[in-house]
Amino acid sequence: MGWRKYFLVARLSMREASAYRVNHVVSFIVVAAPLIIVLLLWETIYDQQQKIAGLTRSQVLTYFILTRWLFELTGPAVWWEITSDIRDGTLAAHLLRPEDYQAYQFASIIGAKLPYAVVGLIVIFPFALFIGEAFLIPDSGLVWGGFLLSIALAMMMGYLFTYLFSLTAFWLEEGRGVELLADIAIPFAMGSMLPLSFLPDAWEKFLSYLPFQYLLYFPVNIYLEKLTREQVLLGLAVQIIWIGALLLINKVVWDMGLRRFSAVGG
Amino acid sequence: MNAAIEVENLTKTYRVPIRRPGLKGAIKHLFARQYRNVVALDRISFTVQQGAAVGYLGPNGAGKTTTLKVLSGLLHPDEGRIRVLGFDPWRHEEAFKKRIGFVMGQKGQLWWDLPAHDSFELLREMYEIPSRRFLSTLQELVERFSVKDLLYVPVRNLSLGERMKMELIAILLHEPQVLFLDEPTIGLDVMAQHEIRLLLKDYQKRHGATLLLASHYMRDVEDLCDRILLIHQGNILFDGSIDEIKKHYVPFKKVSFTLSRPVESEEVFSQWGEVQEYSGSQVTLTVAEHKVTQIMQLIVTRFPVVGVSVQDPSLEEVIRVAFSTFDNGQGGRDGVA
Repeated sequence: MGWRKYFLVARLSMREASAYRVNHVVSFIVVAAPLIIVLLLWETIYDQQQKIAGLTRSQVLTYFILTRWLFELTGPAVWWEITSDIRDGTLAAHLLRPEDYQAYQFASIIGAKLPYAVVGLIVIFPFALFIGEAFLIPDSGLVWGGFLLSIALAMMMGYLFTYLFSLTAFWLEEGRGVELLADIAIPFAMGSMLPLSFLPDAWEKFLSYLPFQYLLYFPVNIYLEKLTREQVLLGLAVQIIWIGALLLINKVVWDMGLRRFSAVGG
Repeated sequence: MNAAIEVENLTKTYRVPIRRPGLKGAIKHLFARQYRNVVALDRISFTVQQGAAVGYLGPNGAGKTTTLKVLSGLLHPDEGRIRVLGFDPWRHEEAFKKRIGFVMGQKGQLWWDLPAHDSFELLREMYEIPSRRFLSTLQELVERFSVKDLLYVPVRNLSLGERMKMELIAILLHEPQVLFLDEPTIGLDVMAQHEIRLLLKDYQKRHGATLLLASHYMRDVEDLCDRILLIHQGNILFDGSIDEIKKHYVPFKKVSFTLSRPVESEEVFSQWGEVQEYSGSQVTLTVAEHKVTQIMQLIVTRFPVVGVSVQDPSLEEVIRVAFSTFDNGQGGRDGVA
């Protein structure tokens, strides 16, 4: 199987996304604006105490800025392109070509997200300036390596969830339920609203069994140097295991979906 | 010549869930689903030679699209043996995918926000078309389709007709040997329809490609195909040339006379055939095919004829007659089992 076609897909998708860069800037500003309130709120809370649930003021402020940006890269969603391909039958055109649809959409989504991530960096930068010295930057190359690797794996995982959620279009005429799940419950489980250590023990424990914290909470914790080397390695291994499991699950769901897709004939 | 498409006893049945109306029905459906079987194709067999163009005609739900989907590998057949260019379509081999093309009405594969050229580049990678080959094929297609100036215009800015041409190029780029066409001209205006037909015919001629065309537009079929398969309720009713089908179902011709003096009554004509039109000096009769010459001579000698024309029934009429003959008893089998 040639990889070149998927690189080209990613490139085309990137070009397509760049055509909407103004739109990206605006939407990222809208998404990031509430961050200012979050930062001010936590500044006030930390006036009273040094540490909350093991996190210092700097760590918490950095946490919220970083997760705000990273979420756009790794957060799962119901992907409109996939669901509309399935619902309006355009999927057939993909099936007829020498192409792997999962790989095709992976390339397409990554390509669409990269320009958005760059825009995000630019939009998020003033926030880092705003909190000044409180914004932590690790100086260990090892930490950076672990962080970037965990982001790459988290993007893979995030995509595989996106694909899985989107495949529900084979069965659901209308996917608002899945969208709500992807937009509200999962960000919470990822740690995008609160660091998971701030939650009651039972919640934290429950969420630690779910894969979603590996999309956001885990990479950011590497960055904040909250984890030992063993914990980092273990976490990376868990990410890889989840990627393997999701590939299997997606394969099964895809085969079932295709059978369903073919049943709706003309 | 070899057979490009071989179909033997192809059967396909869909399981369609039965939903009863109302909330009660919906809840019941959730727990105990009931299905009925709808026979889309009932042991059909046919062979298409390489380079032939075959029209596949039938009313909605006759099984046209189902056949095309099975032949292209999108659907698994329940029963029967199928070979397309020697391949079993359901095995989805790359070598097979590279030899076929499927034109699906308005469903496209072009990237909406990018120029068509970008999509073509991607197809070049996918189908692994050698660069030189790609350039010459593309050059040739854009010239014949007269869309050279539109190659670098974002697809969303093209008109529907222009977009359909680009979609067609996208399907022809890898030079498929077998083309499946499902309503290729649907939604286009008459001019664009005509153009697309010419282009398809042109491609077929030059490449010796095999065409299987399902369409509602008789013109599509008349212009492109030399053979017709009539399909109805999952069965093939007729298989033959357009002339044969006309002779078989409607062995009549329309004979029109223009007279220099009006005739008082149409009744004198009814001895020769059914009078379709009568306006004093203009008469149109439906005449049995083998009697046409004889009757024309008779009329010319007895009336002051200044003009004569003989017309074949239109394919549309023929199809209508064919389906109504079938429905009126020649084995009106229920497609729902």
